[in-house]
Amino acid sequence: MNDDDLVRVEVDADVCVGIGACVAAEPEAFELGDDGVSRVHPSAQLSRVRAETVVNNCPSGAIRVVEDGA
Amino acid sequence: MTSSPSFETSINLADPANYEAAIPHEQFAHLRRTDPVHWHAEDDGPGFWALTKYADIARVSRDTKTFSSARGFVFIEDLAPDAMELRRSMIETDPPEHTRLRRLVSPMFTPKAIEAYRETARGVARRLLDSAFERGEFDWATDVCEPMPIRVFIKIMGIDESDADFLAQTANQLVTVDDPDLAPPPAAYARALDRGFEPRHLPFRSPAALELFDYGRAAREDRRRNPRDDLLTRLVQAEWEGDTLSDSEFVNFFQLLIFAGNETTRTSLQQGMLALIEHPEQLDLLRGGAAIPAAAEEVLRWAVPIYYFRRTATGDTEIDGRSIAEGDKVVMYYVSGNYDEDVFEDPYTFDVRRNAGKPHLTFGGGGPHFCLGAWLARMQVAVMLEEFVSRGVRLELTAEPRRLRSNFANGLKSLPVRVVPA
Repeated sequence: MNDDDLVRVEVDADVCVGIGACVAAEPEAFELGDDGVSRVHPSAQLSRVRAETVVNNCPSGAIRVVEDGA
Repeated sequence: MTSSPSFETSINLADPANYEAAIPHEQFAHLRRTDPVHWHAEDDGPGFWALTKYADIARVSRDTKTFSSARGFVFIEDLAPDAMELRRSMIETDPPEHTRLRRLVSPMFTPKAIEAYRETARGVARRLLDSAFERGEFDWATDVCEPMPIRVFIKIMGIDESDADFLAQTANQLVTVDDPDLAPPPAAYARALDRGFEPRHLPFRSPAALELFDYGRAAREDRRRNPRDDLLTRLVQAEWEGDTLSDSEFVNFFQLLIFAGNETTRTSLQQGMLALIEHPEQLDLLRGGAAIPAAAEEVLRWAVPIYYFRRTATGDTEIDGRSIAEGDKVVMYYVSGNYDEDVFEDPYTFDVRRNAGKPHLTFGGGGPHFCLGAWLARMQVAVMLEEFVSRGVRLELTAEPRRLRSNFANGLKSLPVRVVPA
């Protein structure tokens, strides 16, 4: 498991309140909908280290890394 | 590690007078060191837990199931149940109710949405600086900081600029009830009583809330007839499963937004300039090209416009080894967490190049109540820093700054200055 490995992330739509920290940090991967909920672009992948940064910096704790086989 | 009972018993974090001369940093540092989850007695209440460590504040902020905003509201003083229903706003709800209210407005406060107001903010900042610098001697707190955030915010709301000063003055009186210099006039209290409202049951215990309710209702009627592309119309038209906001939800939401869009950013602009006056080498760093966004974060950490918000335990639990009982009040002192030595190296050093690795707690400790206007505040602080630095001058004090008497808001009543060459 390397920091450069590409991983997928997902947003818990019940928890997200649309603060937008993810969109500011990773605009290629996240987008805020008109409903104020962040969405991950279907094809978006981030390096593990960037994914973990965005997970840790989400004030609501709404983002997680999708682990293979999980 | 020895605790000194005499010092500890003299600590009264709920007393507005304790904040009048300065933030009581020594008291908070003592509690962080000796009793970070501190049982604090109360003159006219059951007492509360005072959290002073960053990690505990972050944990409680994120655990809305155990630590409720709805159950006892977010201020130290308790309210009668009927008063709570009269004045409940978004910050006094828990998920999923909170999520519903928050999403009505959150699309207007994303980084992208806020970017559209950067030039508005720049124009306001330039005009205010021009007019103040022309006079040479002025009050940074009231002449520059007070007019700015409200003008940017009402642009987002869709309110005409001619009402800016009325709204700023009224919103100011939400946090000045404990300051004899600036408290709402007795007539305002009498008017509230005439209308059947006990002032202490109103938001912030202030009769000014009623005036904001009235203004909000009139604006709502206007937008029902003349919808526009603005935040007010969004609030008026907002629907959730067929229901629009109730009258109480609407006026409290309006009042909350006007408070938050006015008071907090203003305090950051005030305290940020005082910090640059007291640490002139930091202004030199900015003039030498130090990054503005990082400097804005340091201003926000240092300024800590709101000292605390409270939660109420929904069940028996523990924090950092201390047993918390159901119903206990838990008060998160952001003003202490922002100076926690475990997170911020040399916390009492104002350092525009600081890179702490962890965010300050000025927007809260995370979780769903994280400040809705965080991007708007960052943008305005950054714009003011840019505009001030570009003038190539510095300010010096012409009299001592005067602090607001409050146990909640770190405002300055005045910051008298003159412009001098850098």
